[in-house]
Amino acid sequence: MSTWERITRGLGIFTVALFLLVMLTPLSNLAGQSFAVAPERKAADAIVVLAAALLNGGSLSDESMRRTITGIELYKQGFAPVLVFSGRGRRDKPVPTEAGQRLLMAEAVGMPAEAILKEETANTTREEAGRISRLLMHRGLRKILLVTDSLHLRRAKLAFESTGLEVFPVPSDNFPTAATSAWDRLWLASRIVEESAALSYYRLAGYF
Amino acid sequence: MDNIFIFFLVAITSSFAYYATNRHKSVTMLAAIRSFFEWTGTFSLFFVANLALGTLIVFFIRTFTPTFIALYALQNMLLLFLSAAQAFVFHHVWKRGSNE
Repeated sequence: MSTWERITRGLGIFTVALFLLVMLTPLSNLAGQSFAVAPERKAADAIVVLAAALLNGGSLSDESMRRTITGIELYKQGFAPVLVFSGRGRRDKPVPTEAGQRLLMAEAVGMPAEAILKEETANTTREEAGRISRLLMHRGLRKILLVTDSLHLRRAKLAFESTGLEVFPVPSDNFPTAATSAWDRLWLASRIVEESAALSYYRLAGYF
Repeated sequence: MDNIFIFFLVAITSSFAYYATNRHKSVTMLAAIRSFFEWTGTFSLFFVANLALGTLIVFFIRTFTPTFIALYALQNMLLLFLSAAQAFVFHHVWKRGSNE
């Protein structure tokens, strides 16, 4: 047996064992729970709903919809007088934008258009933090409720805090406890790895 | 419970396949399982290599051109399937090469 065969076989056994562990045990749920940020629903100056994705044809993705609904809920419960929707258009079709589609949805459920601000140019979480922070500080708004998915929230919170805003995180989901099927747990684990890598990159690049 | 049901299905079809092909077995089950793990290991290597190369290319484009490409572009099932196919082909080639 060659060394190469020994290496690939060992790696293969490790990969299969890791897959089974992730898919069949609550390991990724536990990791997700410790990675997620606890919600802080407090009165603030504005609610900021971060971008997720726009589907081909202009519909909001499931994740975008979840975040939008959470933002509208917070507004309707009186947590803040201003709601900021973030989200650009698709690369192949810049109009409509995700923020624009969210605005239409909010208006359809009775929200006043004058309470809504849009950010339609940012590509990354860091750009969202910089641009939305300028938009809010210009109006003297400094305390925000930040809405995004539970695994993205840690990095997003740090990025927004680094711009000088006071941030109260509000997750739009409960993925770490909701994922119970093998596929969902695998997806959850991959998101944790992804977000951990992005968090390390932001730290190394000195973004916060 | 759902997972046990899936394992049960795979165990049943594997048992049928084993007994149906038992008389033709030129390759032992143990050798086949070894080969499966080697393929899985090769797949992991190709998958990580593809991801690493993809990340480098995305950062290169972001740094040196005005074009923005999100890293989420790598969140594509196709990468998983193609890495598996790559691993299958090259595992076969390397195995044949080492046997000759």
